[in-house]
Amino acid sequence: MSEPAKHLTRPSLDRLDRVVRATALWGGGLMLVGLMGLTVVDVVLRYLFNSPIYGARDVAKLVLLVMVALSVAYSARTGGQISIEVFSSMMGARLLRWIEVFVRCVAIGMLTVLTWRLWYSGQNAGKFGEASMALQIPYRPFYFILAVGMLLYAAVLIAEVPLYLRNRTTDLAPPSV
Amino acid sequence: MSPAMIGIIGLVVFFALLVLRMPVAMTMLVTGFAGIAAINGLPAAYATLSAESFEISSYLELSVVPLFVFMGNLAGLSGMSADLYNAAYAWAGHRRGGLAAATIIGCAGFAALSGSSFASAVTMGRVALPEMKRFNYADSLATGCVAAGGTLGILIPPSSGFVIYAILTEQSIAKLFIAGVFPGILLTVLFLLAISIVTRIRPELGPAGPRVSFGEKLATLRRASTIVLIVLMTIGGIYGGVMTPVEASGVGAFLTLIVALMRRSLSLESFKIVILQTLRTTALTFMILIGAHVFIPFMALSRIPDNLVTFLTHLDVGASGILMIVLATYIILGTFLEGIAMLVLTLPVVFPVMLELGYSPIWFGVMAVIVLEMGLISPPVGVNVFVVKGVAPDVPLNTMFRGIWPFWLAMMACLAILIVFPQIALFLPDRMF
Repeated sequence: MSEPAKHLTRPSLDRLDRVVRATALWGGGLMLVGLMGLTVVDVVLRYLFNSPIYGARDVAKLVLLVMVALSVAYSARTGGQISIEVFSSMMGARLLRWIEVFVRCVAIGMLTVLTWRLWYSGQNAGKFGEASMALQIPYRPFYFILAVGMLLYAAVLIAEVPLYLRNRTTDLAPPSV
Repeated sequence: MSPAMIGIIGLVVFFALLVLRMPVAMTMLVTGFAGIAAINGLPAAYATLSAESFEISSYLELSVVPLFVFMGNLAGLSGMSADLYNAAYAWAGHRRGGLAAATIIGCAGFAALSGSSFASAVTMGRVALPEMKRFNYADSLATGCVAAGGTLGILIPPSSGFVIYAILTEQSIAKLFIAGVFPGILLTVLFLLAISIVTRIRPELGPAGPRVSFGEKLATLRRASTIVLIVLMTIGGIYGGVMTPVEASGVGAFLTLIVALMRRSLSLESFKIVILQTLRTTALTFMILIGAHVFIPFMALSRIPDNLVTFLTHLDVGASGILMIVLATYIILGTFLEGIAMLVLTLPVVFPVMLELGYSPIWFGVMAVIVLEMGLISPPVGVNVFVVKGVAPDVPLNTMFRGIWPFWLAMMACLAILIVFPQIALFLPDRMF
């Protein structure tokens, strides 16, 4: 039987790759450039005009959080997570495939719990009025953003599992960058 | 079941998951969460999980990670690494082993812009390896000096290794950065010495390159001066107390971006690549730190670190004997454990022991990072060697590891010198503004 075309074998993963890359590039990238800009403007205003931006630290820390949330899935998808490869050479291809499935299932479970708890904490943060020190920016939406970031990470792993199960590991290639 | 027993089971599961290739961050998250749940109940584990994830992700001092990584990636893209190499090449290339020496000096210079050993090895490898091949350098020396030189990236500030050490041990990032300056210079000199000895014994490994006119030498220096200026403003700013590390990272990234734009070396496509590479490294670091901050409370609850501290400090080998045991363990662990994972796993135990024995936490941070560097080039999991393999795919790994030994011995010499003269690491941080 001829090999099916690549785009037919992994439509869900391709779609997810596009979402994950765009989220990191445009969302995370904007936060990165924003964080740099905010830091520079704050430094200039502080040292040249002796008037730093009020609450800059509050904004910067939440910008950092959004950046992390929007990049975690992309990092996982492009092999950004470190694992120990030293024993892989001692395992057969079939065993390795099942190990990959097992490891992903455990990670999906963990990320589901993490997403759920972050969402729950966000609701509590809203209830108890948790907010930043200077500008009183409410933390509630930021818990939710971090929860969604972790959920996207879980979605990446969920989309990869069927390809391992069907032994289509060559179709797993992540986006080049 | 006692907390200690749960701790031991947790450690067994931890290593089993690592062997099964679960990412280090996820392994710490899973075992840490399950361990806290087993000792203190599910509500405590839930609370730790969400609180630590939110705390770490919004920890302002960690802004130095994305901003310095961004700066390093921009510097690589804008050709600053080539400028550094060309300047070192013009001044040292005509000597025996001179191109290898130029590579080390280039790596040291680039390390002052980048906090990552991989970025340093890849960027400098692309520039230096073709030149060394052109002048018939032995593959072992050429790849060995790129892989080893790259490790300077995490010793010379800014350094991702120091940021992680600082967060795990609650030390000052600024002091650790500054503590890395002199040991970084010392290790650079020792690497140069290693090249000199190797090429004196076997001159055919590194033949002399062409001589460059004095005018050209000055021109290369002028071009490299932009980098010197950025380094002076960022690292100098931290040392002088003018800027915090976060401010310095923002200013450094901004200046590097301006230089890249002025040189017209930044297209929209390459800018996107730089951003994605930066975010990938950032997310990796944050996930590891989130995992570590769930795993470390589990270890503390199990009281395993306390018991080990008591055991180690009561050994009849003296403080320096314990230090030797710790460093030897690190060197052995570094041969098969990823460096950051090794730090995260061992620091909860080792750090209190070092404090108990009266060692400076800043000095020990420098020692830990150098040992981590040794792990990066030690077989079988010398990650930096694999990175260089990506740039030089035709050179067998055995040849690369053969070329590593002189540099590995130089690192051992550096550790020994720092043990005898800890002031080398502590002189600058003790005099910070």
